[in-house]
Amino acid sequence: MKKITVEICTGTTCHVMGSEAIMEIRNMLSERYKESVEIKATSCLGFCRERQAGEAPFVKVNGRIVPEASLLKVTQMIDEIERGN
Amino acid sequence: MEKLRLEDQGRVITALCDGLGSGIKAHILSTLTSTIATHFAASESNLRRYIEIISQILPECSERNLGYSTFTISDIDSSGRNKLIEFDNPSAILIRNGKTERIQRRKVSVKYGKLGSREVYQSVIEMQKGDRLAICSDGVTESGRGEKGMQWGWEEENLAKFCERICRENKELSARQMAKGIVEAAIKNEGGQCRDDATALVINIRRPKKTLLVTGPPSHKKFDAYITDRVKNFIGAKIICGGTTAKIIADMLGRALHTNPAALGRGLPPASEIEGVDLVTEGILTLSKLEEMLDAGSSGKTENTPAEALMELLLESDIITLIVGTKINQTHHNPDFPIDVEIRRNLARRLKRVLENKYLKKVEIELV
Ligand code: FES
Repeated sequence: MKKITVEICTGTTCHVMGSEAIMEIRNMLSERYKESVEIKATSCLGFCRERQAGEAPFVKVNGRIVPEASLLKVTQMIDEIERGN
Repeated sequence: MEKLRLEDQGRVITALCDGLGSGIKAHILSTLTSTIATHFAASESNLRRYIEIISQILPECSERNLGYSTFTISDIDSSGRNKLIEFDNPSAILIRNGKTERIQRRKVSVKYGKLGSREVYQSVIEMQKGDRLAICSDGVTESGRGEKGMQWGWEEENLAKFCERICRENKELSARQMAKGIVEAAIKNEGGQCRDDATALVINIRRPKKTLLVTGPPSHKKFDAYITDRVKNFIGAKIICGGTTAKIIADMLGRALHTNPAALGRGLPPASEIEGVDLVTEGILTLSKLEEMLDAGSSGKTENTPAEALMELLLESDIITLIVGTKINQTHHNPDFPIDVEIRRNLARRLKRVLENKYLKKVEIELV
């Protein structure tokens, strides 16, 4: 099965807006997900400069932008993708 | 401790002082003495006269009715000639090729206020490349007093042996590392907590270490290649502070930019990696934190944050070039932005000031 990739932006704006807390996801994923999810940190993804992209922090889940990302939002998304699979 | 760089004369004057008693009073005595002593030394006034003056103007300790502070002044010029004046501190230790070298001292009697005549030692040391001169307060040599096997404390002889050993073990040992090693050993002698202030000042004669720090994207795209070339061809430590800047340089070099999610920055964004670059960190937040740490003079407990790694690299350097990109970051001009983000240029200027004034580094800023 293809891994779900979660890219968490650690650029200045996203960091200030709370991306460090989302990084906690590494410790919160259940064992099953640990196998199928790959967590990556990235420097500024560039969305913070585009008004229409929404507000920071930004996370990309399987390439899809998640604005105003939170731990809950990202975990739910992983869940949905998993179930869809 | 006081440091003074006389740029036009190529001289660096340092003074290590230890005030009578402890706490705030002792601190005031030693701070006053070190400030006066360095400035007297700089003006090359008559030694007897300035010690007399120091003894007269120091405020008196109420218990002992005495204004007194020990001091050692080192006045070194660019040829390595070091004029040393030692007053009641443990003898300075000169380590050359891993061995203690005898310092020829001249004894001079001076009048010191109520204490009457005191002895001061004067010497001139022609320092050579690789030499290290350690100057310590008695809190170091007397550390561990009364402990097993140390009736009189650590003592100068053992301190000298310790210095010899750490210099032999690490030929590249920097002055900072050595001073830190000495104080840590003194604290260890005391079982983890010093009863007296333990201070160490180390002078190391070496070829200057250079560091290049690039922060912020350049004002115009056409300068991207320029900053990349500077990083690529620089001989010395290379640092990039800023995600966008790191991305520009990594792309131009055709190398990967990798951020390690495991290396969380404890309140700061994590550091990244680019092959061939010593340190890659986020920009504004990390540099602001660095400035705060430099200003507070904090070193000691390490928490392993990118700001600490940055501070470590800079403090081990002698000549630092800051290349500051001046592209305006629209994000920071967003009125909703939650923190008061400094303009990079001002931050760079403040960093230059603190590094030069407090740490005697040479810093140049280049705006692109
Ligand atoms: S800092 Fe996250 S998108 Fe720019």
